[in-house]
Amino acid sequence: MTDMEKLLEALKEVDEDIDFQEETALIEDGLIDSLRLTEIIAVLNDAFDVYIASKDIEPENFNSAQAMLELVHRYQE
Amino acid sequence: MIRNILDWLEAAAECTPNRTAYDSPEGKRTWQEVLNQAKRIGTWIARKVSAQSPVLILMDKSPDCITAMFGSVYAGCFYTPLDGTMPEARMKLVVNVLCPGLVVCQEKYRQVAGEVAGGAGLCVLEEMDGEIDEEILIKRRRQHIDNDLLYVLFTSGSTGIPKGVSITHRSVIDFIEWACCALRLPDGVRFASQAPFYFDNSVLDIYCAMRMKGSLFLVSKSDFLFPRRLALTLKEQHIDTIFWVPSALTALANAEVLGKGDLPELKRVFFCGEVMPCRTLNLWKKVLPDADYVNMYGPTEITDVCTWYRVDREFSDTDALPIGSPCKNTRIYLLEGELCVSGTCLSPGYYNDPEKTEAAFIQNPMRKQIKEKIYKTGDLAEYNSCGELMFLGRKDSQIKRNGYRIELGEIECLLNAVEKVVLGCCWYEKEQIVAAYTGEASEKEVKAALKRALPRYMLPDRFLHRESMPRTGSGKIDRLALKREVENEYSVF
Repeated sequence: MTDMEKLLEALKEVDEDIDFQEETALIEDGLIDSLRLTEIIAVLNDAFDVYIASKDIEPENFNSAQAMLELVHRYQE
Repeated sequence: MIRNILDWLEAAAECTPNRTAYDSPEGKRTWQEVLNQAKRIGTWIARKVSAQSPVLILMDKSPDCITAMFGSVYAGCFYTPLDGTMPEARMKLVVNVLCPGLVVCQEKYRQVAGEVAGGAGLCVLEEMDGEIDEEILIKRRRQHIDNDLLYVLFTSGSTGIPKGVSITHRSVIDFIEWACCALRLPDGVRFASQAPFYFDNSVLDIYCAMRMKGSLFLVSKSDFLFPRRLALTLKEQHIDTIFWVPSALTALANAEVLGKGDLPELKRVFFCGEVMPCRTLNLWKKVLPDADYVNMYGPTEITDVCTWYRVDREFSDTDALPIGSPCKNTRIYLLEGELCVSGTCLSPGYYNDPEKTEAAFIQNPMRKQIKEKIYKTGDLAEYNSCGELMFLGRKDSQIKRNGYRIELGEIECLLNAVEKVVLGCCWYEKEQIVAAYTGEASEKEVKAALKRALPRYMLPDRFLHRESMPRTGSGKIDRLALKREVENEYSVF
């Protein structure tokens, strides 16, 4: 399984009605509220064993699955 | 003494026509513009429905949404703002109770508005013509008395149907005059708004800004997800006053994005809607040692706030913050520990629901000689040794999450209505709503069904499928035993 597949699988648990694969403006379009954001951060932690620091909790890191994965990779380096 | 909130709007437009009134990242409106726009919408509504009709407003939080509210008032009507993203099924429940004469929406909600409107007329704001008919507006204004309703806000109802709390002009005038004076708001105050318009904390924001000829900046919802962004907004927008739910203040304080001396323009930090942790208060005091901190308390039924406490001493992180003393012109009774309220602030009742009104708004037992209502809040309180009121908790199964008032009974009702669920039960534990149920339904099916019926903030966090439910002697679900069972099974994690 690629990291992207793993991430999409995990995000499905957060909300299966959101098309995380296609959406690129999750924040601006209001698809993610505070409960979901907390869940996403927890999901990244569980799936990739990275703890997201508050300085990285910025809209541009959560607008798409791609952006989230890039964030994860920065932590893994 | 004024009789209509529009008197404040007209005063602001006359004295300070070019000052910003309501603004957001998308744009701003001055007081003159708000006045003109409200009159245009008022004319349009007045030509469609009679005075005192309910007007349902389905719009995003924006300056236009506020002018649509004032437009309804110009037409002699009252408004109900509704969250456009609320599930359609719940919107329909609200419409059934309210029976709106008119639904006002913006273009993007045309379809959903059409589907829930029922027999009501539908008005899309973008299609409104720009005419102002002073004659019809003056006529409506002459008919007005201050006992007329200004708004109806819907809150969670324990029987599965949302309750519409109706509030009159008189109550709002009484409340806002008190708030502007007690909270020492300056002329030209600048608020940053957190509360959605369907939540009654927004009443203080909207009308105090108007009364003080100040302004209200509508902060983007997404800013509240990103503390750094939020702090920047407060700074760039020169905000001097905030009235937020404690969870929003806690989130910002805990993010460690604020240092001492940041936000020098922020002078007033007010909060209401849920218990304020002293730990949060102390974090804020480190950043802003000289700001005015006021804790307020009150349910929607008494017009936002009925008691207040200005922080006047130090508290340790584990102390409980007092809710203080009654607002001016308000009386508080503790009847068997339950906080009850009397005064001009009282709602005349739940819209279209005499039974629930009877149950919560009762005859004042201390004033049997005359008909006088008091409102039973369902909150338990006591006086501390300083004579200040302290909030102790709930009498029933109502909970607060991010300031939202949630009846667990409402979730239970819907849970029990899900296909293939035999029996359901909900409780609140460690800041999570837990739903347990028996029957053939899978967790996925139950979750999907509730999602179609409930706003996101009411969805249970955990679903537990059970083979059977423990019962009490009288046959009811034994909630304590169930919680214990669940605790034992899951404590290994």
